Amino acid sequence: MNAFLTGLLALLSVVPLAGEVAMVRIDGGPYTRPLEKAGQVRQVAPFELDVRQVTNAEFLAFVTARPEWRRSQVNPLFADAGYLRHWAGDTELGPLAPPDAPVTNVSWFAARAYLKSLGKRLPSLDEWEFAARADARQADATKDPEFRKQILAWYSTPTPAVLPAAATMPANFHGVRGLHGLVWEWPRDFVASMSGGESRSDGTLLHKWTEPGQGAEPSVEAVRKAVSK
Amino acid sequence: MKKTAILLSLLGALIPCHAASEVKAEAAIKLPPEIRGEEIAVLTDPPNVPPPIKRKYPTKVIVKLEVIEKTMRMSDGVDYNFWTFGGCVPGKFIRIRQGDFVEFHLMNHPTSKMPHNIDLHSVTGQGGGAAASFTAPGHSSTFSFRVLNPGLYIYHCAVAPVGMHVANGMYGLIYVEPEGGLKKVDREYYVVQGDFYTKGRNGEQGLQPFDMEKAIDERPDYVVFNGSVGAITGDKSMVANKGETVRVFFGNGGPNLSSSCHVIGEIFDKVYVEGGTKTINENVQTTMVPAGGSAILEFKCEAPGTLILVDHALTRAFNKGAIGTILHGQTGEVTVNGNTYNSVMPALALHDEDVANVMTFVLNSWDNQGGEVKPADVAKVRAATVKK
Repeated sequence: MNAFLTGLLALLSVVPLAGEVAMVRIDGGPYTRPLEKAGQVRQVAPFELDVRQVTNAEFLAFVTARPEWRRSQVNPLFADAGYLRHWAGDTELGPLAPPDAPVTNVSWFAARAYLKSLGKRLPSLDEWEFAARADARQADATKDPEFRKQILAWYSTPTPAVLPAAATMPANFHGVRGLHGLVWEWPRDFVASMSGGESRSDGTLLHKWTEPGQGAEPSVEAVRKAVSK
Repeated sequence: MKKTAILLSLLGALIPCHAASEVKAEAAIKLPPEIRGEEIAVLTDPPNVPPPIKRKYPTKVIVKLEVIEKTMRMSDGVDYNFWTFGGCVPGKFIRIRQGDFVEFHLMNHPTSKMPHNIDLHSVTGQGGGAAASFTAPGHSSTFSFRVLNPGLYIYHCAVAPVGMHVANGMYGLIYVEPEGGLKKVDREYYVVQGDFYTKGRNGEQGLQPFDMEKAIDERPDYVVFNGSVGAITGDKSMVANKGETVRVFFGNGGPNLSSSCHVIGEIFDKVYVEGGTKTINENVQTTMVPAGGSAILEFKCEAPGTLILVDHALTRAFNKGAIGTILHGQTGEVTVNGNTYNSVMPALALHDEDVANVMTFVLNSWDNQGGEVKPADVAKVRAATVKK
């Protein structure tokens, strides 16, 4: 499910106040969604992206200021029992949530509310995908088999009990850290490309994985996308 | 220029559609009158099988299965991040009866990276349950079905990329007993073959990631029974006494290879071909079990010794791990140095090295002459014994 995507990075290793995360400009351009037919080109307009994920400390500042988003007080329509489950308490991070690690167990509604409080918004799926096509050296690494391997390798490693600091993840071509290999992130329109429960029968996977020019090898994006379904 | 930020959210984040489906699944379902009572299914880790069903009527069975992604041993010094149904590969064995109404709860552990679902080959329609069981990390889903067809069926995860989920160990067996059940045997075991694709070649040490290219090319580094090299050998062998009857519920999770299932030194008295109920072949040396398929194997242990289960595509057995053992002990008269003893020697599951150490100790103790037995010597004797 693509509901979980990743986030942005920051150049600061100290915890900045909310809203101080550095952003980079991404110029946008033509782009094809991983599971769409070849030739369906979309245009991604220029946008700015945080350079790292939102951290536990930043989210703590948010819920401290906005009690209605605390674990004990959140409206169950907007977050379920897993909301911020790794925190020690309502406004206490604890050992599983280092201040500079990306905040996880956040609902889409909570993510949206947090960003709104900063005058920001969630990226669209296309914006996220566009930024995430980059490896360290090139803006579009989707044709590089090594890139695909790196992404898939993450799924072969156990989830650590405590995540590393968001700012310590390697930066990609755009200067954004941790788009792969750290967490899943919410795009604004995650439902737009969410498959039904039965991904084998929606007909998209098969032809996507054998697009002309790619042989039987799935593209990086196809694999990542499929993986994230 | 638009300003965008990302929020992250990882495992266990709220997905509204899931909350909705969970609520919906809990709506009361009116059961047919012949369904009597309710019970929680007994689930077992391989190589164990839940006890036969004694009920003479269908009931409501509640199955609770949790998907867990965890690092476990693939081979000595080699670890792998398996995706499991219930923490083991193959997943928990499910045993129900034809006509049962099953309420299935699929949970996905909060530490999982992936959403998962389940396709039970014993279920007709809805992708075998896949369409109703897509479950995000930290969530659960519930669906129900009536078991219409008896037989031994594979279940597996069907979330894309399906091949990767299955290659990581997401399969198991569900046995739907026909009315009246099967003939009683002395021992029942659960074995599933699977092929694994790792970045490093067979034996390369450390935590080995999944290799998608090798999977697509169908070039496995490991072909194993029950999820790892040696899962059913040594002290983890299946055991049976001489004269006992054995039934093996055998499945093949794949994702790719068919199995030439064979037991060295034994002939299957009966094979329920492809896990079905109608064709029961007799006196079979090797039976073909397709990926995503099964067979029920029955045989009597006529001779003492170790039985070795293999995929008779032999380099898989001897070079990639598809080997398992059934040890039997001996009961009855045996003559040693002219004296007759009549006792029971239970099947012992000792490694070659253990046996060698004991032998060496005996040779050098009391009034014995000394000498040394090496593990390789034991292996030779074992092999020779099997051939008898």
